[in-house]
Formats: sequence, C-alpha cells, structure tokens
Amino acid sequence: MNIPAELRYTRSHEWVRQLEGNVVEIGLTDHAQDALGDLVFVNLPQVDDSVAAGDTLADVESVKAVSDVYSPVSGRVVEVNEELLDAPQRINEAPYEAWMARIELSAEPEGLLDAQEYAKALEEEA
Amino acid sequence: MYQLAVIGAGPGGYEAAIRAAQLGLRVALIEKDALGGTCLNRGCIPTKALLHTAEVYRAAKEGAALGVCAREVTLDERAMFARKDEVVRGLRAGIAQLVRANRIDLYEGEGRIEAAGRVAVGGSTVEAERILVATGSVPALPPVEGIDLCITSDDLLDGGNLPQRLAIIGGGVIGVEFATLLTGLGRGVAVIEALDRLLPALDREFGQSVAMNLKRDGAQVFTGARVSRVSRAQDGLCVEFETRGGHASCTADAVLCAVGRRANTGGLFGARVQVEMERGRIRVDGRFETSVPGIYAVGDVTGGVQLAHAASAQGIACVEGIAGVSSGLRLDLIPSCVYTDPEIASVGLTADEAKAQGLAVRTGKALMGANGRTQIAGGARGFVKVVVDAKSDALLGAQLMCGRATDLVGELNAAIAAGLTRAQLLRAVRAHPTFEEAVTEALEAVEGRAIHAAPARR
Repeated sequence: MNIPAELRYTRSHEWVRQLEGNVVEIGLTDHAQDALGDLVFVNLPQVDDSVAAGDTLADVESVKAVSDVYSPVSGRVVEVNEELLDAPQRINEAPYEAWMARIELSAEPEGLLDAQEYAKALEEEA
Repeated sequence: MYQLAVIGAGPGGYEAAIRAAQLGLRVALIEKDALGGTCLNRGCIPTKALLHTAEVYRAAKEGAALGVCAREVTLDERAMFARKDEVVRGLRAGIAQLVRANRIDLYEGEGRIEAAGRVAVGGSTVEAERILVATGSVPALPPVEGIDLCITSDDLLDGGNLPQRLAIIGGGVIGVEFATLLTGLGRGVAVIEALDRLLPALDREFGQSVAMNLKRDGAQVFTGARVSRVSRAQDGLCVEFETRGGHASCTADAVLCAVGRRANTGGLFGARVQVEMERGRIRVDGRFETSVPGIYAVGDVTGGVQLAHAASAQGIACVEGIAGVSSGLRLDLIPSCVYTDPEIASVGLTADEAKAQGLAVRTGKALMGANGRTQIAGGARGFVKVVVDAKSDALLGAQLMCGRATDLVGELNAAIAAGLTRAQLLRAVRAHPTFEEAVTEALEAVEGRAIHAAPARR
C-alpha cells in the first residue's frame, strides 16, 4: 500500500498535503480507494463552503456504496478539483494526485497522523 | 352572462374550467389556438412522445446484448413526428369531449379583456362575473447578437428535419431534454449553460450526473458559458461564448434557444384595463386574484415554477376558492420531472435548501447499482435520496434519478403532502423486484440500516 512520507493522514483515510501559505489539499488514500473499489461518481463541496474538522466534505460513490469523505481540517474551501467530476476514476488511478478540495485553514490541524502512524493504524484495522 | 370566463385552454385553463363546471358554475372557455395549450401541443406531451421514439430506437439498436437482434435499425423521422401528432390529436380530442360533456361553451379566438367582466373574442363579447387568465408562456429570447438565427422548442417540435448537429443555449429542463432526444437519435449535441451546472434549479447532483450521462452519449457540455454571439458560418451556425477559460465557440446546423419562457400577455388587455405586473408577469394574491377585482390569473403567465401540473393545481384551487370550497391542494409542493436517461424527479426540499433555511435534517441515499430491477433494465447509474427533518422525522424532500423516477416520486410527494414520517413510510413493505425498493433503502439509509449497502467507512 502506497503511503507517501510527506503527507499527513486521518484514521478515516483522507490525506492532507500542505501547500503554500495557509492552504492544504485533501484527498483519499490508496487504501481507501482500494477498499471502495471502482468509483463512478464524486460529489465535491462548493468553493466558499466552511468546514469543521470531522464534517462531511464530499462523497464518493462506487457501484454499490456511497462513502463520505470527512474534512481532516477546519477552514474554508478555496478550490475544488472539477476534473474529478467527469473522471472520478482518477481517484482509483492516482489517489495522491486526485486531490478533491483545497482548504484555507482557520485553525491549526489537530490529531493528524504521519505516514508511519497511518501505516500502523492500517495494520490495526486489518 | 357567464359566472366564469377562462382565457386559455392549456392545463391551467381547461382544468379550471372543468372543475368550475363540476361545481355548478356557467363557464366560457376561450382559446385562440389548440386545446391543451403549450403542454399538449408544444411542450410536455410532444417532447415525451419523441423521447419515447428515441428510447425505442436505442433499445432496438442495443437489443443484441439482450437477445433481440434487428439487422438494420433506421430512424424514420416522418413516422416519428406523425406518431407524435397522433398522440397529441388523440389527447386533444379527449379534452374537447370533456369540455362539451361539462357543458362549457368554447369560444375559438383571441380573448382580449376590455373591462372587468368583459372579454372580446373576435367579433363577439363574452360577459362573465369573473375572468380567469391562463394564457401561459412563450419561449424567451435573450438579447444576444444573432439570436434571430436560433430556433425555439416550438420550431423543433413542429417536425420537418431534425438537425444533424444541434447547439442548445440553456441547460435547464428544456435544454437537457432536447439534448437527451437528439443524442438518443444519434445526433451531435452541444449544450451551453451560463450557470456553473446543468439543471441549476435542481439538486446539485442532478446537474453533474446529467452532464456525465450526456457526455457518455457523445454530447458536448459547456457550463459557466455565456453566449456572446450567434452567426452564420461556412458549414452552419456558429455560437460563440465566454467561459472562465476564455473565448470558445461551436458550430452546428441549428441553434436551439432554451433559456426559459416568458409570460404570454401580448394583446390580452384592452387599453382601459390596468392589471399590475411584475417583471412582465401578472401579479396575483394568495387566491390568484390580480390587482383588478374579478380578474384572476394562474400558471405560467404569473411566473412561478412554470409546470403544467402547477398551473392545473392553481387553476383548480382558484375556482374552488371562487366557489367557496377547497380540496386543500399543497400548492407549495410541486414535483419536478426531467425526462433524461435515466429519469430525474424531485419534490420538496433538497439537503442544500434545508441547510440554507437553517433546518436540521438527516439524509439517506440508496444507489440503484444494488437494485435488481435497475440491473435488469440496463444498470444505469442512479440513486434515490430522501431528506428528513432531524427533529420530527417527517419527510421533507426527495431527489431521484432512476428508472421510472417520474412515477416513483409520487409516493414521496404524497407522503410529504400528508406529513408522514420516515418511520411511517417504513411500515410499508415494498414489492420486489421494483425500482421502488430503493425508497425503502434510502429511508433506512438515514439510520445506516440499508440492507443492500456496505456499512459506512466509519
């Protein structure tokens, strides 16, 4: 399972990438896309939506299940990856490139895992 | 002297006339064109008749996978339009019969209100205690350079030649239904919508889903695209538009303008009748009375949701009010249906609307991928969503995209109108195998208890 060292993670299988300034990028981990199977649809948030850590940020749909994507951080959505709307399979193909939303932080993120901790969490889950 | 004169025999007018007659009023019905109005002659019915042909055409072409092998499937446009006309004629004859049977006097001609209580029709004058205006709407044309090169839904439905390539300005209900029709018939389609998604008046997920489906069927979809010019090009017509990405254009054999409809009030009022208007529409109060006592208006001519069943319900409520009875129609609860593939239907609040109103709601969603009947019918992606009041558990809204969604929405619509709760709706055992099973699943999904869905990730 691919777990890039430079990212941070949640126990609900989102990844967080620090961008310039106060903005982070959110996506679903390799483990999550593998567990969900082929994705056929994605609902993204809207620019300017405010989110709190733990809120539903988006949802992804495979043939048989809809799964919520939770926001790992609190802040305001500044950009969504519209490319995914037409090509949700990008999340399966390249989970760490297929970012879903960019969020301007309103508070310092709390409780995020580093790659090692996330790998351990996956082991415990299995 | 009549007790009621109705101007316009579309779904708003003729249904009001019949209900008024049932309630014992002496009724005159005035129509300048064909009974049934836009809905029957230039709207709901003809588009769905043509869409039915497109559905059968596609089924025939794709039948081999189901064991139905047709060697050479071709489209006979003339027969398609003739059949549409036959359906329309039959329904029109039905209305004529009902009008006669209810002893309603039909005046054929353009009605012009000369004063409260007096309508001129051709050379004669109809006098009535009350007048109900139900003159509907006509396609709106935005002030864009070259707009006169465009056709409207009226022109397309008239028949003749369907274009090989159609550009559609406007991605609302009319736009996406024509896009569905033309792609279904194997024609090229480009949809150009000014707002950031198709079907902007409906739940967000519909617009995105329809865009995906239309693209799957070969259409081009441009959103956030403002049309700046339509002009003649070497091989057809060129539509130019501005997007966030800059200037863009597409070429087609015809350009359909489907940006909406405006109230049809041309020639309706004589010089001495001053009825208060609001942005071109007739303004009415809660009983559908205009600013002039004794003159009422319902349906598209008053703006609002501009749907046939909304106009009918308003017409019925209006004349019931006049007659002093009420059947308690929930006029605030109007289902919307879009005849795409798969169908779309929506009633009541969406989750986003509830949120905007500050209502605490819970939602449940069932996917049609797990629905047997859907798989039998070809397995198109679809869903049923329900929105429930978090406190009272009452159903507030439902959004469906699935086979027969336009029929399925009826159960949920009735439930909302009757104030039923999720728990009450779950008492009903729904039959298998049906599309409707997804309603049970969506209601159960509110509590995470849908049977045919994997447990939530956390």
